[in-house]
Amino acid sequence: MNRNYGVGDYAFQVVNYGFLLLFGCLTLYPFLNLLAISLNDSVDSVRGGIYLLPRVFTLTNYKVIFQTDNLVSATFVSLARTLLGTFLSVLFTAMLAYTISRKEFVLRKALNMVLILSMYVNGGLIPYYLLIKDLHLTNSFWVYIIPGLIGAFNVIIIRSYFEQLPEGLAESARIDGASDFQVLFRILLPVSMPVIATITLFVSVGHWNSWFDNYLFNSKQSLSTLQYELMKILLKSVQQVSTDAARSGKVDKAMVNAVTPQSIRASMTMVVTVPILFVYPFMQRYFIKGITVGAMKE
Amino acid sequence: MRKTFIPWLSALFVLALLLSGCSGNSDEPAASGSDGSGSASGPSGSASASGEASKAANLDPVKISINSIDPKFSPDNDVAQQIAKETGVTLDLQYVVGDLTQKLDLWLAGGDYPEIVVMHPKEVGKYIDAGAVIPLEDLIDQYGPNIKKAFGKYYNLLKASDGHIYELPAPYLTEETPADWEAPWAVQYDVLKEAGYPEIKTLDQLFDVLKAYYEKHPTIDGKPTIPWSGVGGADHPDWDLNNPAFQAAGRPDNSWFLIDDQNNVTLNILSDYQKRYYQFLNKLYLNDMLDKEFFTMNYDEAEAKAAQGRTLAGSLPAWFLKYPEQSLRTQGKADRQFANIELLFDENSPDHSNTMTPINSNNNWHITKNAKDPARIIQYVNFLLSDEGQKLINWGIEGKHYDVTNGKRVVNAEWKAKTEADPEYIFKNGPSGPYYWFTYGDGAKLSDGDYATPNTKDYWASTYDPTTKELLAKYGKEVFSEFMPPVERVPAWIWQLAEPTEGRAEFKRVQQVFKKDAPKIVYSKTPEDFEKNWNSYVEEVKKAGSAKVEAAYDKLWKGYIAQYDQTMGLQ
Repeated sequence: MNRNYGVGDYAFQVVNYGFLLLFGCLTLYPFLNLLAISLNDSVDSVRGGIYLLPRVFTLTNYKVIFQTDNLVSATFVSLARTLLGTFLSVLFTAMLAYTISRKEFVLRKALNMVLILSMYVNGGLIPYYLLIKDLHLTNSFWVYIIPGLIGAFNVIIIRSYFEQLPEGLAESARIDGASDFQVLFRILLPVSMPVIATITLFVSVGHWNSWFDNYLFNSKQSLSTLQYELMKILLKSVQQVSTDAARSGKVDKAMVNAVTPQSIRASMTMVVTVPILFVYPFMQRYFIKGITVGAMKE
Repeated sequence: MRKTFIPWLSALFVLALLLSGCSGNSDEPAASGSDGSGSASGPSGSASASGEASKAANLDPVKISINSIDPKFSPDNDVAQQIAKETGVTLDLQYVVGDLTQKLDLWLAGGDYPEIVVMHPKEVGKYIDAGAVIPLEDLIDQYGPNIKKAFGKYYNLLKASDGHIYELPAPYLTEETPADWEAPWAVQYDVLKEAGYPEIKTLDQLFDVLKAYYEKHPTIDGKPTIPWSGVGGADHPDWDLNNPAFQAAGRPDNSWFLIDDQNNVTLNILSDYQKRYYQFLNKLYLNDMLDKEFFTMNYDEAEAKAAQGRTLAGSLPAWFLKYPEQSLRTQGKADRQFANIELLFDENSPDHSNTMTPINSNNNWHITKNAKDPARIIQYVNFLLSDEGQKLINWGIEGKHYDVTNGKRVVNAEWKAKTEADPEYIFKNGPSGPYYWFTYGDGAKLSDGDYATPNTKDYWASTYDPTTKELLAKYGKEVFSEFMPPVERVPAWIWQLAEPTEGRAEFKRVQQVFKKDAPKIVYSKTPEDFEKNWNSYVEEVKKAGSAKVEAAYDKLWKGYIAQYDQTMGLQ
């Protein structure tokens, strides 16, 4: 570490950091631009020219979003599915990963095949719908949790991580009389935090962003997720430039809106991304470490 | 103790999970017994029993499930409650947010569609084939005299090709142009004002007015003036190029097609009209008056230009100008709003561009097999199509949403102020819901001789700002719809019909050629150049298979007309 830097090294550093900084700005700008638009008066935004700062500051756009009746219950559903779903999914995924990482497990190969197969082949939308319906999971909160409990890809990542841990770790615990559950929960999981954090992040972001299962299976208002409700608000605001309306030149009287779709879109992006954004700083270090470690084997 | 703790815990957990999962399900049919979805066979015994009983009373409260394609609709505002009082029917809305076609397929596969399915005619075929929707003609005979009356001579058009009626479309009873319709050509107020409010009838006349204004005002608020712009050519080349061409020719809107008196279908984009419109754009270009981004900007960018007050004119429909004009008014630039007027290529050519179809068949209602008591639904629709029902669904409740002064219905001032302050208010508290589908239509009249909907000239005139009123007064008009030619009925617009499968790939290619070659033709430097580019474009469109497209649509249209004439008893 104590070596002297040459001119070339400095030049490299400058160019390197300069480039990364530029790249960072490039990715940050659209986000800040949307933030500015979301805080700007929507009618004023129509004439364009908003870059980093709002021109006519207002919170109306957010007000329109938050005054939706069942947004509170939808937020609760989303939070519940994210917390519970993530916890259960990681738990079950880890348990399955442990099982198929054990060499003495007889059906190891077969189960592996089944898992991998599920990554390449699926039954298609309508059979899937019928299956869920026959399981009586439609119009139920559990449809958010149970079908996605085990992700084959996640199982493989955790399994690979378990397999690259020293064999002796589990073995010594076993000699001391530990059961499989104890080996998993007290020995393996504590040393596998990087991979668990990674999977937690994957799964929780997936849960938070998901709306398709809501659209497919739950038509009850009380089970709406936040994303679904926000989608509804967006559709509400979108000027229905259905070709029909456009062609007949007819302006729907119901299309009078205080807030333009552009502004709704911007503020909604903020509402959706900001909460889940806070998860990243906490997971970041595990995240990077976890994915590289997991990728080392297989 | 410790050794067994974790397995026990997890076992307990799994058990809890299973239990709650099951209980969640067993709750469901009980809680939503009337909901019908997912439990089609379950409660049918008891439900049909109560259905029998309800035929006598007819006002028993009943909940009927229906899919809502509009997320704005509120399930029980005060108008919905009033209707429930009159009919006993409450609608249970199932919002579909996302791809309705996919959802319809899933419902059909699972058999758990709602009792009423709202869908486009293009989707109905599969539901009929599966026997999921029920024929309605007998029920209408029995319970729906108003339904028959509303459709009148067009009633037979409701019939599907097998002779049964499955759909309940909306009637279209008006004989006049609805007050809120506007012609597609927009000119900025200030341009008209400076020219002394001339009568502009043709594109060339408008050109001269624009040119004079542009020479005097090369910039507006420090930014270059844009004499002619569009709605965003990058997204919708046909809206900017094809639609104006047939509109200037005074032809009805059949999107990419022209239909002559013998019902022959040809592509508009190969017609002389298209060429003439290109010539007009070319003239604008050569005089440096065409938006430099005409072909590249998107919808938002086009909107921004109009909202800055820099756009002077263009083929800009009223729905496009809504937000820009709102913005201009708040900026205090009311004189930079747009007047939508009618323009043609030739002053004296006949104008048939303002058309209307016999019935408004779009998001029609269909009663499914899952309906516990279809008769109640027909009775419900029958009520909506009565004068009393029309007043409720269009105007609202008397004394609350509207008043009757001098024998005429007028929107209640207090109510109007509230809806203006909060655009969501009408959905929560006013005449707005799925039932609105069965409106007689703007411009139609009830048996008392007064308008069926609040969407009248008086109403629209009352919403205008002073600048707009002043402009309209100069032209001796009350509302912009008066600029339009008289409305005519056509059997259908060709774009409403199910797209034929043959020629689909060719049609796509033709559209691509159209999009690609348009700038080249418009940006021609000399008339010879223009001729050459136009000819090579025509050549290329023909090579892309235009004949096949025309043949496919010709067949489609002639088939439709034959059926139409037969149904209407014209043959």
